[in-house]
Amino acid sequence: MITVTINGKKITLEKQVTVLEAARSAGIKIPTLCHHETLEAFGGCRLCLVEIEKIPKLQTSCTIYITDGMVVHSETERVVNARKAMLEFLLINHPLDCPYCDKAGECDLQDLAAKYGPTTGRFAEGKRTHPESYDDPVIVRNMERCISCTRCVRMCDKVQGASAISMVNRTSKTFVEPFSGKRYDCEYCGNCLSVCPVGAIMSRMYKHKYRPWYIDKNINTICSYCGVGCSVTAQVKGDSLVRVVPEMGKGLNKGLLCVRGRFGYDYVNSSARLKTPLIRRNGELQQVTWSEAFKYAADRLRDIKERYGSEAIAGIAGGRCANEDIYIFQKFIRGVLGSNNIDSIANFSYAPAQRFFERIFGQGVTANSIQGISNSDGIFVVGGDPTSINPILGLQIRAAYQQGIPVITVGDTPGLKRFATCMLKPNPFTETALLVSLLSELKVKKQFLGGNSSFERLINNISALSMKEVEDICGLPTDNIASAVNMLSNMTNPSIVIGKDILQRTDGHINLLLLSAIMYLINGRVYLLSEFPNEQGLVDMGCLPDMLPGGRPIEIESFKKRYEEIVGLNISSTHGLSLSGIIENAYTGKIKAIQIIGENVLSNIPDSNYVGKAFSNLELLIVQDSLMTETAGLAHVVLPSLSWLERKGSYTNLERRMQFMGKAVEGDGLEDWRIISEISKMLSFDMGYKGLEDILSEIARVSPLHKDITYNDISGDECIWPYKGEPLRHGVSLEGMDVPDIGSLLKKPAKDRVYAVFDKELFHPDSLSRKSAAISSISPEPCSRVNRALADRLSVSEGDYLNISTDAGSIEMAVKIDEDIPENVVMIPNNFEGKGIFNIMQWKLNPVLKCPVLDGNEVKLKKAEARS
Amino acid sequence: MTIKGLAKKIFLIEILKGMALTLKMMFTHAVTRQYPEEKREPFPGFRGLHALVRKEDGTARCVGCGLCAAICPSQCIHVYTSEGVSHEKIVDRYEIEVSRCVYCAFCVEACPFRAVVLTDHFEYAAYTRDDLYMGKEKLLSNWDRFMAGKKGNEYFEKFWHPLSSDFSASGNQAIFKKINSEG
Amino acid sequence: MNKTDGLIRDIRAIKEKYQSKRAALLPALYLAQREFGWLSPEALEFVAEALDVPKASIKGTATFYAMFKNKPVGRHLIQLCTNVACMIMGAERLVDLLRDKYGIEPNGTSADGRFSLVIMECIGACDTAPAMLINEDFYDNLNKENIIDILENYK
Repeated sequence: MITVTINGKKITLEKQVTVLEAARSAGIKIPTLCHHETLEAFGGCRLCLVEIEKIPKLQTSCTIYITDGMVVHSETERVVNARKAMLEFLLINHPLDCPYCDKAGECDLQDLAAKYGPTTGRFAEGKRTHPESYDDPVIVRNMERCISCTRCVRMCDKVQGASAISMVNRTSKTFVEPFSGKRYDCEYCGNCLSVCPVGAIMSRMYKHKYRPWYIDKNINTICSYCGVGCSVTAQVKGDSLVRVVPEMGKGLNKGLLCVRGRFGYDYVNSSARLKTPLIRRNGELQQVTWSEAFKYAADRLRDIKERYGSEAIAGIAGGRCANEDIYIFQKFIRGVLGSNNIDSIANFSYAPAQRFFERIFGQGVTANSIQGISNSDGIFVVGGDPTSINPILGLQIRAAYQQGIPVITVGDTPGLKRFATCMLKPNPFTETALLVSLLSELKVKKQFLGGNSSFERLINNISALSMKEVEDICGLPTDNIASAVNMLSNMTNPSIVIGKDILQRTDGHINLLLLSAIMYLINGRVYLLSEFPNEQGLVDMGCLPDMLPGGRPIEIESFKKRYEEIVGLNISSTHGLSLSGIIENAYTGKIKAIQIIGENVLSNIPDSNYVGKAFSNLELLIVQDSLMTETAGLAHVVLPSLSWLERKGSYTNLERRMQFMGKAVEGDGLEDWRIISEISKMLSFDMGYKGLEDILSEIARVSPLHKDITYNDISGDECIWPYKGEPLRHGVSLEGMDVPDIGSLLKKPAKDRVYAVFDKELFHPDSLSRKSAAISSISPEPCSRVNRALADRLSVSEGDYLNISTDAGSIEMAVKIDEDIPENVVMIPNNFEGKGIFNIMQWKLNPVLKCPVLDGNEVKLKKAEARS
Repeated sequence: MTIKGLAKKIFLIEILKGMALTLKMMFTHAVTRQYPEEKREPFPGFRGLHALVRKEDGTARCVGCGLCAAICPSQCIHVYTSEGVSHEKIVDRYEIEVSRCVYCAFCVEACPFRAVVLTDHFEYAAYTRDDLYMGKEKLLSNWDRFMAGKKGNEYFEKFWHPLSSDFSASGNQAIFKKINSEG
Repeated sequence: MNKTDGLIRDIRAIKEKYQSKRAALLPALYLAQREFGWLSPEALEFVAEALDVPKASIKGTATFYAMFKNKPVGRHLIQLCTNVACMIMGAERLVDLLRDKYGIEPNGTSADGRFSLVIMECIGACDTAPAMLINEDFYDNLNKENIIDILENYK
């Protein structure tokens, strides 16, 4: 116990903290400029100076630690004079353009100058001049205003790990700049601008459009881009959105954001927004009224149900719809239309992987806190780059690495290049062999825990593959694999981060088994990377062909009965078709009608050509979306739904935390659940919901997992697994689980062939960010990445265009040279209309997981003709 | 009642006194002004109709800092700004709901650029509220009508603070750089 | 190409000596400056690659220290002291001489790119003032005659 006295107030603390932290814990305010909660102490601005008895000189409270019996005064005349002097120094070079500067009103320097500052300066020297930099599409730098607190640089170095900017030059000429001196060459997380205490680094998105005090409403909501679910605040003036900002220290992201969360919100005002319902007449989509659209959709659905039966109808839900929407959607498809053909993109690897893990380890095994990553003693990343798929989760890995925790990565993870202790980059699509060899070695080094004997038997049946054998297949030196094995076997409490890449493979199911075996052996916690904010919600709300809300299999008779009683509708007990099945059956003409909510299926799954043909075979395609997408372009009925920020609802993130998103502005359209219940009413089943509360209370009754849940719980900070509900206790049944045939893995990839690999890009992970003007200005066109050797062979250089063709089609794309990828691959993103890897892929499914596979796409490359 | 009081009553003394005063006043100057035929010059600094100061180049001096709107106790000033082509701040709309103004002139005091004034014009009654909801153009024309020329300068010199001469800084300092409000 | 290969080897050798990569930054920048003449963006990228330190932070370090040149300099760098002792002994006259003879302004470069002149504050040779450094060679007891002789050795 340490007791200190600050301004006459006795404070007793258990841990030794800085004087500043001690004061703040007692509610005593000490001004700071360079200090920031998320950053380490710097002691540069000298504004937190305090007087400490028995120490003759004033001390910086952000760097000095408390000792027992310390007596501190934070507002004596001497201290105030010192602060005044410091501010006078800072203002020597700081322009007095507050009326013009957008920061005024929320500027730390302005506030302090108003509190302590001298009204005039005694320095007659001229102020420095520095041209404002608009080289960057979304960030403006005004280095005249910079006070060299280095918060941005420390944020960039230590927290974001990008190290894109630094303090350049000395003395009064110091300023902050990226290496090029012009545009940033970084991840555009924009965390530098949120820590800037003055107006030196600011966002261009709302430049000169507001003053901080104009904002009348702050609405807390959840970012709509990925499965992490970062908290953001939407700020509204009158009825229009001013900006979306994070609140420092708040939410699971603690105020940090990635490029999509910070700049990507402007898609809500995109010109591609749908405003009125559309119906296809004479081959063209025409504007109609809502009642016409509802009637048309209901009549067509009734007609198809009567003519072809319920099995000819299917539903596809999107990962950006709120829990309430997708609950209503599955109820509608199951109960009202009588079909279990309901699925979502979550069933392409996220849901099957989760189900597989839960089968072995029990329900909820993937519900791990993101903050827990930096508390583990080792991290194993496989199947994708977490810093581009789930950037805020990726930051945890970087933070962990900087604390000295070993990080092992498998595959192409450019974002962790400087944050990995051991990077294993096997030849393309040979990860399975590598995993087998890792498992074989770990089996020797690690003891079985004896908790799950049938799974242990299964692991023992997996035949071994030595590192030597793998060396050739994967092209990895034995030493590398050995050091990874060593690290893995020394971990007692590791985190395993699994991306979808490794599962969307021909042998994805084998990878899944191998990963669970490794996880079992090293006692790891698993994190499944999730690309959509409500991917987990799709699983929990029963948007799967064989699962009801609460993660209950449809076979459980007692549960099905309970569901039918509460919902008041009878449902079929057969498994429905999965998403791939729906598309295949639409292709062959067995499925006649599909209703899609909030998903651009056509663009977001391979192969786009196949899906397009399947959809054009349909008699009825209903699309509910807030934006005009490629999928909506094929629809017979398009119903505009409200977008994020325009509606309330809840999301479940990848750690199974439920979070509430608020409504900030009004929009054109209706909530998805409202649209569905209107159609349902036309089909003579009145769902009778008055608002979200009714829906949630029904969810709380139907799903044992969400038992007794209310919006109060969801709006609180900690609505995490298993809420107040009852998780399902499975009996461990590993029947039907196959041991892979190792012999088939011993294939060396052909050196002379070039394969297309899906590049999950940070800026455009799927089709949503295209509609954001800000993100499109950062990354305006798709770019493929190739190794220098391959580029030389093709005689292309950076900026040239490459013609990439397969049997399925060809695309042209700009080239970027990346030394860190193997020679026989070309990394292709899927982020622009008609110009993505999914346009040139074949429809191939994994036999077990039933998801389209991304591997084995051999491509022919040639330099494209010069463009104007 | 006394005899004296009775006599006062009988001889109508009080009325005669009053008539005497009336008679006396008939020979002095009248103080009543025959408004609106006869108008009175307002005292300097009178707080009347609002105006936005026009610079010599014809544009408004206002940079859109919004301090007037922030200080306004009746919240009757609305400023809307945006970014111009060369990244400057543009005042798209500057609106005063004159009928809600309480004429405290805090806006004038808050303005760091001497861009908004209360003119000495007070005759602006109107038949509709719309006429009293003044936009930027109307406010600028108020300046032209009532304050342009020497009058405006005198107004600032004599009455309103802060004056730019109150801030001391050497010539090449970056104070209000790019804003160029002086005109 | 071979030249830079050697530089990479030297930088990596320095890197081995230190626990942290950043500790090797100053000596590595010195080597790069000697090789490239000045710390051009290419030189900084080169060091960043060799040390595996982010290039932005290398730029920060390189622009902080006065002895690193962030602008192109002549083939030979004259660092002449004009501090008190040297000034008394006529260093300022030497500056004028250099201006007349070679056309070099202080902090400037001669038109033919042969010499650059930097005015230093004391190089620790007050007893034998005036003194100067040419590249890394030290000369003292300068006067109008011998300084020309010395400079003529640097082509």
